[in-house]
Amino acid sequence: MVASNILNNILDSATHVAIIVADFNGKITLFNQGAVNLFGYTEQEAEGRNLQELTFSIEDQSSNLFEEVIESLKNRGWIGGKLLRKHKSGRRFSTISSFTSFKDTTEKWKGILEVAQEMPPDLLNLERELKISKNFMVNILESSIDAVVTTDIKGHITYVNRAFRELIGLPGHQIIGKHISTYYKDGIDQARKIMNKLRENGRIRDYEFDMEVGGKIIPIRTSDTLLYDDYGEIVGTMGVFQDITTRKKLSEELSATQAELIQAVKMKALGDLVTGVAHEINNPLMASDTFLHLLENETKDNPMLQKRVSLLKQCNQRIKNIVKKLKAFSMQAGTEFTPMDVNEAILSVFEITQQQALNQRIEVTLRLRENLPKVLGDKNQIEQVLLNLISNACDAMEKSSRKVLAIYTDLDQKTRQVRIGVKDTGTGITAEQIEQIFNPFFTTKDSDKGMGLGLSICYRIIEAHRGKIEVKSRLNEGSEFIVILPAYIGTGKVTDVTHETGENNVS
Amino acid sequence: MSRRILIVDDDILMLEALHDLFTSSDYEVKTANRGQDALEILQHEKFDLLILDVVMPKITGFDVCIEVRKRRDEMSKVKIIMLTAKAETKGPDIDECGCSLYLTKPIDPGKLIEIVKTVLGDSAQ
Repeated sequence: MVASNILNNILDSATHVAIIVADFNGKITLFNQGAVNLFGYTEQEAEGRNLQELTFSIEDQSSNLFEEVIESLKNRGWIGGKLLRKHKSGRRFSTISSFTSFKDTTEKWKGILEVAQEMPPDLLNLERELKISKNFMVNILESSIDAVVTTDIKGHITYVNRAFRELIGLPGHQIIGKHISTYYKDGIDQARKIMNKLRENGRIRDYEFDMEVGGKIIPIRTSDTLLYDDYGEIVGTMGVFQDITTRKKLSEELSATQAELIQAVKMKALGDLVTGVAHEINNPLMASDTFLHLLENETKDNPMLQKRVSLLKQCNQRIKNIVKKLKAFSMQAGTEFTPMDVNEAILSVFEITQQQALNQRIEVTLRLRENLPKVLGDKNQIEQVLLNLISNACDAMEKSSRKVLAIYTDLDQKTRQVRIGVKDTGTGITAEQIEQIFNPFFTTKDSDKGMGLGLSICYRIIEAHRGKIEVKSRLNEGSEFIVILPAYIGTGKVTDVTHETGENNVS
Repeated sequence: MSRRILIVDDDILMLEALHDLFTSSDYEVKTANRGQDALEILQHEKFDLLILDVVMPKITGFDVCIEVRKRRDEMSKVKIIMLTAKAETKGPDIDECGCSLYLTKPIDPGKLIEIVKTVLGDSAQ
């Protein structure tokens, strides 16, 4: 009884704290002086009425916030926070409220207790400012093109911005809480690596690694920092991730173009060199030939000397052949471009090489595209290229158990390029060999089989045709050479004829 | 009477080789290893054929050819064979210099003799 009096006194003297008791349906059973002051209703007016209907804002009533409060109370026993309220006069204001549920002496749930206080205006302003500044920060992060992610000290994701969500392709709530290594190609090892680097320097700048999302590898450039609390303790990490797929592709394309350019320049320089060498050799070679010619006539009655002269002539012939090939490499022979059918060229070369293929028991498949556009080319030179590629393919399959030579033509509609493929099931070419394969005098064959000018001549010829040769190869599986030439678009007239110097034609 | 040939080449070996080649075929051969020497010789000697190397320092084979064609005597119509180790020499020069024939080194000596015979045979007609 005494205790009850004390309690009533406390309730009444708490004029600045609203204390309200209601049952689980919200029916008010107690409304102290503080509540009267806060909401404007008398005790009599309030008791028996519904707490939500009487004091909650219209918005919270329509979303039935009270029911949510009850649900939370059943789980947790306590809930608190800022609440938008209405006064009897209709004035809207905010309270800081705390709700607790309580049981009666029989341990049955009896109802809820709200203790509320009007939120002071300065606190309200502070909250508003905080919200504005938080929104501002969030907006900046959200509109960032780079993906931003924060994790706790163990690597569990605590925040992701829009760009990060887009990178992963999942809504935020499906990402937050996951371990960051979930999205790393090398998983936890990668995460550890980054964390170790962070611990060493406090931050990482422009570090590249791969993410893996939905089976897709995404190359990432990241800058990361450690996050600290007010006491200087590490509480987590923040990372800015940049998807560098496009940049990487571009840079790869760039280096491929550079390589092509370097090769072209190299070939030009070699061409000039070879031209010079061929020229310089020709004079003494012809002089030597002339002396031998005379010597041959003068030694007719000496078979021994005749034999030696004949051998010397053979040496000269060898030199002449080399010079001839060097000249072909330097494209000195002159070219005559006419619109020509690549398929026809293949068929005529095929006729020549058929016997070699047959002898080596090579199975040949020809797949020539019908209605292939013509190319502007020098028929002899194109045939020389094909002959070379086919002959190389046959040589490469000498020791193969399965010998298939596939020759095909195709048209790339988009680029209007004619493609000629020569594919073998031979020994294949290593990556290092591919780099050198078009260099003059590079050969993997025995010295009696050639001096390594074939492919370099092919390269020069196709280059002069404004085309290119590509090589694909797998060791012990085979190689594929693809000649790419621009399709001829024209009226059938010869558009580009360089002079033909020929070989000593008496006119 | 044997035919007279003037051979001009800055390569001494070449000069010697051609000299021996044509001498052995009963031609009367004179040689010069500079363009200016050739022009000097041509001032007071007559030939049935000039064999000129194209690339020579200062006065080239072309220059000699053009000078000869400018003359107002019968030497202006002399047969001239241009000989070059350079295959890429442009066409117009050959046509404009007025030579009879343009050959690229190396050329088979037997074939060269044949050609010279043909050219001089033409001139006899």
